[in-house]
Amino acid sequence: MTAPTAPAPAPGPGLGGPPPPPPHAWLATRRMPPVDLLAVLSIVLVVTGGILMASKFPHRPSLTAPVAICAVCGAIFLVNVALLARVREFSWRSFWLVARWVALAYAVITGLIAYSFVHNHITGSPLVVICIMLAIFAVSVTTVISFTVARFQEP
Amino acid sequence: MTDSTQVITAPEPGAGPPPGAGPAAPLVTRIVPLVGLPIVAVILVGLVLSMANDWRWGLDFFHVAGGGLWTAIDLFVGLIIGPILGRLSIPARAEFSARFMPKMLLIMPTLVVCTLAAGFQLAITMGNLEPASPNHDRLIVSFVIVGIMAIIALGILEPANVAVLFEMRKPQPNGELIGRLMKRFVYTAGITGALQIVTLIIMTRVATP
Repeated sequence: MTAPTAPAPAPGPGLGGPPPPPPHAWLATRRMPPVDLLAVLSIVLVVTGGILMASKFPHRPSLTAPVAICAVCGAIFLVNVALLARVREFSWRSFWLVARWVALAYAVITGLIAYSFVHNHITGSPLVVICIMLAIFAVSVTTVISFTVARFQEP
Repeated sequence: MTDSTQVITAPEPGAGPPPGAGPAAPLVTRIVPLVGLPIVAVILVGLVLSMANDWRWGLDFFHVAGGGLWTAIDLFVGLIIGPILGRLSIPARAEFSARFMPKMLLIMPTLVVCTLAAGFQLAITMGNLEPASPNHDRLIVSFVIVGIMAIIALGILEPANVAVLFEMRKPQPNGELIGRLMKRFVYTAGITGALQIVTLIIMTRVATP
């Protein structure tokens, strides 16, 4: 394989014109549902909820806003599942390949963060809400990365 | 530099592919460098042991060393590498990314989790999160900044990086798509670099009695 170099100068007449687009170039321009945007919105909400709760520790934080955030994120997740189920010509193989590994990585990461809360005596309903938010965080990150990869892969 | 659709694995300027040559080998064959996984595992085990035993030096080490490296890498990539990358041709960007991004996929999440988990435990044990502490408000501001950086990194940067790596595994990567995705990297790396400077100011202020 020749290592990539600076782009070749535009060929003149008779030299064959610009290089042809790759056969899968249509994947980069097709319209897809906003699954990634909704997943990012979920990440924004759980990060906000996490900051609200962490700012009150080690005392017991109010759970009203975090619980509302969890409910909204649950609804966003269901909408995303519905949107994904309706996508035609989608590389599910790539989606699940990436999702498996990202989910494993973020299970480790969120597990460590959850452990840090447990170890520092966060118990009861605040711990449950934090764990739900961490799970939403892991699922949302997995969704946005897997969807962004799979949308550009051939079905 | 051109953003038009082109094949990344371009041969010598002006030369056509050798007669009878098959499709070019992909730039990226492995997304995650497996050799780095045992190193990550050792670091995370050390973090858990430090947390479980409330080992103050270990917590300080993981928070200060992890945070320092996180900040330094973000600043270096955002303010030095990012602008250089933005001026390179798409094939040059692709070749750089093919070697750079897989390593970043392991390094950055490891540094972030070490910094945050050790930092939270330090904040609790040192009383910096108590509402009466003079550092309480500074820590909340730093939480917000870390939150914004996490959203940028996980919602914009990381998905684009992984998508670029997958595109480069194809025999004929789409140069236009790679250029478009890498623009995200160039723009957002500068923002996270600026936020890291604010983090540096806050953290050095917190550490000053």
